[in-house]
Amino acid sequence: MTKVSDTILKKIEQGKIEPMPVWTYTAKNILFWSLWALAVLIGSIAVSAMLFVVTHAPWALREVTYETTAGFVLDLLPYFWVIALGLMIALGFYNLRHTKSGYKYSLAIVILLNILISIILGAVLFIVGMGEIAENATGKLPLRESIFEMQANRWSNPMNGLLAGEIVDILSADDGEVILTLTAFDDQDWKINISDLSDEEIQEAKIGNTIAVIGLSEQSIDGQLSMYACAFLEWGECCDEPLVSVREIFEDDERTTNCRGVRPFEALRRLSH
Amino acid sequence: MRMHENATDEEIALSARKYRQDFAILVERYQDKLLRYIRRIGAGEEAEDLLQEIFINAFRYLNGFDPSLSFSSWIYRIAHNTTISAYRKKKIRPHGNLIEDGDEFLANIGTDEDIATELETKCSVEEINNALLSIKQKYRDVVVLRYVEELEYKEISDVLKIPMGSVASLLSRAKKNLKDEISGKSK
Repeated sequence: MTKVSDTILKKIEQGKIEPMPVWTYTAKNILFWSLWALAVLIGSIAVSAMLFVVTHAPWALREVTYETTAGFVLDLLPYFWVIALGLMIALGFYNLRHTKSGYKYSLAIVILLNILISIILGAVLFIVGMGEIAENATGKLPLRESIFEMQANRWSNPMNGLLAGEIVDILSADDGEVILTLTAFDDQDWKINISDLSDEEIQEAKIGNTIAVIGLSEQSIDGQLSMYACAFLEWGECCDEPLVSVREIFEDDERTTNCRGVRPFEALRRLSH
Repeated sequence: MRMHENATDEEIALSARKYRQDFAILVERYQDKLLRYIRRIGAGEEAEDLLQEIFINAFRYLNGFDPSLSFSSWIYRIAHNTTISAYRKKKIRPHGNLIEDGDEFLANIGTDEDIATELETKCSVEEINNALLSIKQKYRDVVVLRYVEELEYKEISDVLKIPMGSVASLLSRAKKNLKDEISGKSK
């Protein structure tokens, strides 16, 4: 035995140094694989939520609710989920690299693998409804606006002619004027004049229904919030089928001029049955 | 029970988990090689103490030795990591003579014609050492492992725990950096 080996063995003996147990290596490997799997799972949930957002976005109402497509897309983009996915891909890469043989794989391959698995698993999770659950659950986080909130906020803009809420009362006057009382999402009551709408539409307005109104907000002397409706649509699931058709009175001579130029009428017509 | 002297490193490593004395064979086989290596990556007068620490670490991590790797790659990895950690703890830069034979080094690296033709005069060992010390640690690591220790790409990948593709691109950039350093200083 050489001097060096002699010294080493003496130090090992004196220091009572023992090899670290096998289970520590196994545990470490399992831990990193598990963390990788968790990162991929969360990334997949992010993908499923993104799919939900994109497929449940009110594309059909884009022209009605936004000035430009760019504005619509910017509002719609699921930034939260994109960032979440990016973080999980980075974490997944880090954890995979720390497994026993993970260092052999290049950055590109690991990231591609993570993205691919996230997309495939994300699609499966979307189909079973995980996307909606995730979008809903994270909606309450600070600085976060879920797609449900985004739509509700868009339709809580009476100054720009967009208002949604629940019909709580219907008043039909003898002169043919029909006024709905609508409780908006901020719990404020509005009077909605739907006199310019067709008889069919008026008949479809029922107490308890939630509707989205396009029209003109009006000043009233007594401070009552009111709006002149040019069209309304049912509030609810969108985009598998068009919402309730535009029911504005079609005959020129029967319609007032109040709504002229206010709403994107052609866009609304395209939504109709 | 002592393993036969002709047993492979891997067999001895597995045996040493149970029979401590067998570890001495590995120490004897690798002490000179590792001492030269850690000096080449910049260990100075503390090299011998560092060598002991490397072997003690190797013993401590023996159950983590993966037989799918060569023992050589595994212990080089420990040597590399222990040396780099020592620099970081002491916050010192590597120093000392990285190579002893400038001709041999240049011959090994000389498959790259750019380096060979770029130099107008023969480089001294000191110039090469200074150039190596001037380039980044990650480049120096791969250059020493490839052109001085003469490890294959796969072995370097196992020592540094990086993909083989990364070894290739680091080497390419390292050679360029080295060329720039050497030709820049020789003007």
